[in-house]
Amino acid sequence: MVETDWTQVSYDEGRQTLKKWRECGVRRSEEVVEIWEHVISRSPSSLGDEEWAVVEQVCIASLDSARVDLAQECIDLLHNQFPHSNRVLKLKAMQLEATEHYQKALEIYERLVEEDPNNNSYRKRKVAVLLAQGKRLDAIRAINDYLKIFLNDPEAWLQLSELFLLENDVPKAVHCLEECVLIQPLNSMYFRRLADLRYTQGGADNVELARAYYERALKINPTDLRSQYGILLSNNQIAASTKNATEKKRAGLAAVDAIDNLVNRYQKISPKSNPESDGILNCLEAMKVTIGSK
Amino acid sequence: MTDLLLDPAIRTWVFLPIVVITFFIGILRHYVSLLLMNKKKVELENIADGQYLLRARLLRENGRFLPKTSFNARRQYLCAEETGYLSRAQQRPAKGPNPMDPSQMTEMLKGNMMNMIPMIVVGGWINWTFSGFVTTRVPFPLTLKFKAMLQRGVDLVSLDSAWVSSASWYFLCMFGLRSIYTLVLGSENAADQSKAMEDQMSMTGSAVNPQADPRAAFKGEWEALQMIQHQFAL
Repeated sequence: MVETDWTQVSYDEGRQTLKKWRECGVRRSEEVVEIWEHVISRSPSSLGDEEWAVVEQVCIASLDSARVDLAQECIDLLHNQFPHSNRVLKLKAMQLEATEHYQKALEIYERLVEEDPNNNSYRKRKVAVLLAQGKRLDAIRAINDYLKIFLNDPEAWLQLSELFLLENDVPKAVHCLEECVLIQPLNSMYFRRLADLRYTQGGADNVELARAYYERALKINPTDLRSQYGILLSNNQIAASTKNATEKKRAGLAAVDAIDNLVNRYQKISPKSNPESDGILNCLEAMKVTIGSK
Repeated sequence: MTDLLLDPAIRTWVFLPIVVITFFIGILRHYVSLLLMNKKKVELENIADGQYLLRARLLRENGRFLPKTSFNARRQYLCAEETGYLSRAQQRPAKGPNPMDPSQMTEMLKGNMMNMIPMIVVGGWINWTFSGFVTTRVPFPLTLKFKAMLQRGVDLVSLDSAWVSSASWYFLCMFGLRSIYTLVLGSENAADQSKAMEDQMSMTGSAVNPQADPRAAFKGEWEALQMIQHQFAL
């Protein structure tokens, strides 16, 4: 794959790329800043109405890539255009966050929430501040409050599950991921993570569930290598622990199948791009022999 | 039949003025409605209600991906006798928009005035000023049935029905300018009368407004969730 030099793209291409990233929520902050500084900022006014959306995007991107100077420029631009906008105020608070003035940022968010209680982005920023300060328990509490109202927000549930995992509370993390699955049943990542957690929990039932979820994840996204490994491991576990002879045999065969698929995947890619693939292949072959011998 | 020849003065003093007047009245309508309408405030509780309803539906549809215990826990959370959100929401006193509430009344009045006054005043005025002109013709032949639509104010039996009278031209402009308003004012504009009329029709037609009575919606979801048999899909 050829890396594009984002400082050299044409004006129109830069504009299209920014638009695409803005709409899909792609986080490529440094590239966004590059496009802005080398291409778009030559004549921002020719963007027309799009200009302000682009400036907002660049502002957030520059905060993300620690370019507080550029962010200040963007905020000034936006402030001149929309002097009383809450959205600009939010950017200011985000700048305070980036410069570690958490308390001030939090105060602004509190005020924004009070003014417009229906806008969930301010509440989410509040949680982000708590996370940045490392106050995990407070963050958990804040997300819980948030989810009492906006309870169909998979982002928040995912964040909450990660926080619970950091607190080593696997059952609660499972609950959160199950919510994610309910909300977006076609996202293979949720299924995979749920399977990971079920496998971690252990016990015959949970490993079976894990296997089902891994299979589902692989069905949705056939290129998901991690799910393939998950199928291998959970089948291996089931084959080792179950008393039922037919079940044992079936799980063993499925594990061997999974190994074959994995070997296939590794043989397709050249050893150059992944120097470890030879080692992994040897390891898989050895595992296949041990499973086959049982 | 010899073709009808229209005075060029009709084009300058009737045909074009009607287009321009209709257009600017639309623009005026847009800005006046911006001035008068205050944004509808959505209560936080309404948002939560909507979210819970959506959640109950999602649970019904996608609950098959969860193991039975997880599914039952969630169902219990939503439907439990005393504590479930859906059950509690059913017992809430009905609020709904109260028709006697003065603020609601002014709101409704404003909406109606915005629709009716331009309709009556401008329509009447156009009818009075420009009545009786044959302004233009559509470039294709039409059947006699269209005479009533296109030749309002000109009752001539022998006139071909492709000709359009001034009053009908006003109506055609009124309904046909929608895309031009979208071009000029953006998609969320209030200039278009035909849209406002559609709104009114649908208001009288079906009263299924999500905010009208959340209790009925909650009851429906509650029943559906009680009925459902859980079956693990994987």
